[in-house]
Amino acid sequence: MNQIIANTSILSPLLPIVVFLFLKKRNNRKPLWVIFIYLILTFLFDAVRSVTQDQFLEFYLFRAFTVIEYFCFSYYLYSILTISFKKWLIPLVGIFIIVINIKYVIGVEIIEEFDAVTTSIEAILIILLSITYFYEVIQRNTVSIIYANKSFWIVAAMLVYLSANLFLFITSKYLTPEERNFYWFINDTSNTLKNILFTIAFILPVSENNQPKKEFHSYDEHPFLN
Amino acid sequence: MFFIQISNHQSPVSLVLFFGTVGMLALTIGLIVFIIFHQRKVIRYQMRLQKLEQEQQKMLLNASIRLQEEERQRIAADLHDDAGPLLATARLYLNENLVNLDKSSQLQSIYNAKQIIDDTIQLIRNISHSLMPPTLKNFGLESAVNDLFQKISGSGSMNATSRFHEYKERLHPDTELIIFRVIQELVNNIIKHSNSSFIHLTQNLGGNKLYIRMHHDGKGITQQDFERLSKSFNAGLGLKNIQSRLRLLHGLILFEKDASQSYYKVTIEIPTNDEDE
Repeated sequence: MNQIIANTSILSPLLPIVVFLFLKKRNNRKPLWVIFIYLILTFLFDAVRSVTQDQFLEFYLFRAFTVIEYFCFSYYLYSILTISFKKWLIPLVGIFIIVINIKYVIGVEIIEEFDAVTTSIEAILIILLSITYFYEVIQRNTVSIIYANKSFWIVAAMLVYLSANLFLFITSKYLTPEERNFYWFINDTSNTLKNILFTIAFILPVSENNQPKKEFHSYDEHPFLN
Repeated sequence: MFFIQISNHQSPVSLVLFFGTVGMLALTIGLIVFIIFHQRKVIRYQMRLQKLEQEQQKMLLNASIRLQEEERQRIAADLHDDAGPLLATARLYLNENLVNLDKSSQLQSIYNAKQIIDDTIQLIRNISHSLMPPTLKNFGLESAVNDLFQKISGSGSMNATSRFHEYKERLHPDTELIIFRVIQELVNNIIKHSNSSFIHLTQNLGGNKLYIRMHHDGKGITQQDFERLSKSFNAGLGLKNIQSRLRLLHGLILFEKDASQSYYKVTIEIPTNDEDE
């Protein structure tokens, strides 16, 4: 059963990739291309990992993949968020993740199969950014339906995937290899679900971006002389 | 099934992982569902608001059409009741019997006819001026308002003063006319309903906006009263007309009571370089 779930997870990125290529015209936006590239890399990483089963290769792949995943997701969120918050935090955390990974790669004292710290940081930050996006959606004064929007499905995919995996990432350091293999189906299932949600996003037609309504001028600001 | 398997592992980490994952998923799904439902609620509210706005627009349009009709009827009545009889009388003086009269009677008739024609010219001029004040057309809003306020002060019923602080460049003639009509309507309302002893008008510029504020010490209305009255079907055309005129200029109006509670203020805000114009 677990093998079926794992294989489905490995093959699942192909679905959004094919849909994206078929409906390229309606997805021809830079942030969506980033997601598309991310999906290709996901498929390649998982395929290589499942074929080789090499511990060293897995060690490097996990670390590289965390960095790539973080930058792809954060770039997408960065491009859709309009709120004026501290956006510089996104590349800063990215650099932090790279530094930690380099430290692990250079000072290989104990080769851990899974990079629990960086994946957990990545997951927490992307979850927070996704919540910020949803907060923005609530604040926006638009009349368009949220689930007719590509961004909604992509952010929902990221949120579901990372929130399902967060505790797996955090606790992976304390799990035995058998336990980790047993619980890895959480990752596989959420990965498949994420790819289904990405597919929905790619299928959706481009929705018109409704601008927030113009606010009324406050009379208190009148520079009035009597 | 999964829970039984977790229990079999008997590791506290497994339990943390299980409950953490289930909790996170529940929170995520809950958040997404909440956002969808909340947004649907917001959309329903917005649609209702749009419908109300459309109704309001329709009401304003009706008011404007009614006002136009009333204006036409007034002009028609002026022409029919005043100009018509005057010209008919002039015609009587100049009818063909004039040739049969003696010289002095003829001169008297011609003089009378001239007088009547002069009156008619004056009447037509008055009608024309009420349609487009010549001071406004030739000298601009500041002069037209000063002229209007001088006439009010001259009548002795109340003291009316106006002061334009920053009106070096004239606005577009159509904009000036609309602002003048709004001021006229407000002044008429103050004279008719407020029982005040004075009106003071000031003009200022702030950013890209023109501000006109009127003060009076009589009985006035607040913004709530204005909104209530302009939404009411039974309310007079005046306020609806002010609103529709200001909407044309993308302007705003605010009725308020002075902090001292002794004066009422009306502030008009007009964008001076509106993009849509």
